Amino acid sequence: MEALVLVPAKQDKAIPREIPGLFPLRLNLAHVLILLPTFVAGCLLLVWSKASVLQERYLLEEAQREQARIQMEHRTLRLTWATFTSPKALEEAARKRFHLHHPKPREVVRLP
Amino acid sequence: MRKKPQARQRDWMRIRFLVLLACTALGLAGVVFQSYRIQIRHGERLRQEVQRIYQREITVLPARGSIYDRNGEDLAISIPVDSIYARPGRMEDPIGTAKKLAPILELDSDTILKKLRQDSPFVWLKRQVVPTVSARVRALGLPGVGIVQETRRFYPNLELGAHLLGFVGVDGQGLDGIEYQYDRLLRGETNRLVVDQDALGRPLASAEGLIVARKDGHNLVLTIHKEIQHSAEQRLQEGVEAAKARGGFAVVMDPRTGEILAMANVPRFNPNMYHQYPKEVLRNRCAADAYEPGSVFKPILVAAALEEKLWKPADVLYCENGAYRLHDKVIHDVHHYGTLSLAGVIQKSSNIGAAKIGLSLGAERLYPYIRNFGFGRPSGVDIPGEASGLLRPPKWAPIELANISFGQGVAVTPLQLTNAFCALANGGRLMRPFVVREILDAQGNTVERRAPQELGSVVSPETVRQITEMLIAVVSPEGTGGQAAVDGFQVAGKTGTAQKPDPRHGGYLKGKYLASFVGFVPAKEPRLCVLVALDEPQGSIYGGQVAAPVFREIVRDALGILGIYPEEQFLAREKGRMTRVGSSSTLQ
Repeated sequence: MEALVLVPAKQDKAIPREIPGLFPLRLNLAHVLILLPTFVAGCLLLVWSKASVLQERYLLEEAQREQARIQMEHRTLRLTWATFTSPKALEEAARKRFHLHHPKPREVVRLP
Repeated sequence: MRKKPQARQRDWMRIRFLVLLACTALGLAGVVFQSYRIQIRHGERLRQEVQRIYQREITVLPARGSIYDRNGEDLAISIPVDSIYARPGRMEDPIGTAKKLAPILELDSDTILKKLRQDSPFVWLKRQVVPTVSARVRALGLPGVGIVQETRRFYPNLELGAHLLGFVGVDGQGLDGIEYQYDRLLRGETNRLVVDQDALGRPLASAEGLIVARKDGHNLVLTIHKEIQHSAEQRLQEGVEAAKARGGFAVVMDPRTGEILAMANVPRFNPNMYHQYPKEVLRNRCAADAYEPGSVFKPILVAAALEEKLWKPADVLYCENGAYRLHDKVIHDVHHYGTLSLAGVIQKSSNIGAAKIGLSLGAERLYPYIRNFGFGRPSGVDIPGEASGLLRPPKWAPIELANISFGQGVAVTPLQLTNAFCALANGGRLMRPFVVREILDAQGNTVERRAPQELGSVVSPETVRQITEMLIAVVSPEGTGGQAAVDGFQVAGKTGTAQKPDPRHGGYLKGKYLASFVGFVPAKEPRLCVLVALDEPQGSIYGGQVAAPVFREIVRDALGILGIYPEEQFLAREKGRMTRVGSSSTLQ
């Protein structure tokens, strides 16, 4: 019984077309030529995916740091805003800069 | 016989293939063996080794929750700041380091040097410094000197609501006020997290990153209204200065719900620098101090008398022309009155009239009313250190009963008194006062929303109606509290001028008074209940003259802030005509 082998169209007649009876599996060069690149490709894919995950983790770490920084900045800005809009600061500005005062009851006008 | 070339070539091919196969098998066997060694034989040790190199445990410190006023305005907020430390063991040149750090940290170089020479692996040089200072220290790059981040509590409104908010220690623990009461919720949880790192020690994000691992504290939304709080503090401060008083306190509540809108104490303090003030100043007197209320207690007595149907508002009694002898003691009135109606006793604030009403009522009947109005027991407010006040069991001698009837021999907290008046303003229903209305998690989701809690009905609505009429009469030109009148609103209230007891020698301190005014507005549909008290005013000592004007100013501001508009019928007229712009239909 012979196994079919894929060969180039112009084959050198010196090279045997088959490796007979090595294993019952009948592994031949064509199989090896297919399996080896697949194995190598699989390994490369594995390495690439690991490297990608690592890269993404660096990016995620960076993003988390950025998020923490923005949160801190947000808190700082809230503090600044609260300081500037404290009733004491506003009243002082209203009285001194704009010469305002608390309305008397008869000065209150409710718009319809 | 020689083999054919083709056969020889086939044999050679086979040999080569077998060699290749053997090498591969050998290689694979090596891999399997090495895998066995790494994974199984030395697996545990290597795993630990790898973990040591590629993993580290970090402490994730929580951010303390914020405190907001009822409109979501920040009252307390935590910000990460830098702290400077040193490792004396790693110090190369302590003298040079101290000299370089001294001007930046604004510390004496000898003080720093003393720390650097300590026999300790770690010392704080200065904690919670501003970013510019830490940047300058970082730029020096001194060996053995490091910077670590901590959070610091800030109160952006400075003194505003300081006594109520309390303050936080340098290690982030609540020490007083709301900060102390809700410390466990605000503080959050310190979490430990194992993170991966690369060979250079750079951290690698994982599924449970820092953000997920942080268990920040909850946020609190208070019932406090920032603007009303400011007004209460400002007006009280002005009142204290005008009366040259030792201090003062004010409480503003919503009588319908028991929500505390403002709680002011003078002298004030800045919680950002609380350690610079004496302990006396830090105490929230509105909840922690009990005092003899004086005449502001009379409406409680009269409410009991009306509820017991023992007296009617128009009933009259003889007020002994200003001096009433009861056994060996004499009770005096400020002004001399002959006969007064029950309403007149409140309006003129007659001690003799109140004593006679109390004596007719008896201790056994009066005591439950005082108790039900919330005196002699904590109100249950969510503020630490609340005092119970003082209310002895009702085995009172006649003179004691007479004294209690006009507010002596009984001690109440300002909060208890305000809450009792809230009950009068709320149809006789006593509410539990509260300060925290909502608890939010770190993401802002509601964890708990607190509803007003009714503690029980103290007196009937009819009694409330009658007592309100009497209290309105107090704030009339003929009453003792005319200066509490607010243009455009009907005000109900009561003045009080209480002698201060002498804790050392017994009796009362000569010339030392506590002047107060407590009332609610609008009288018929109350939205605000306010108490103002000035401690030891100089000059005029009467509540109607020093506390009532402060009450008026606070109420006027607060009504405007809440958008409660003047009522046409109660607006004062100027030269016979209204000066206000706008039609009556648009004003309620």
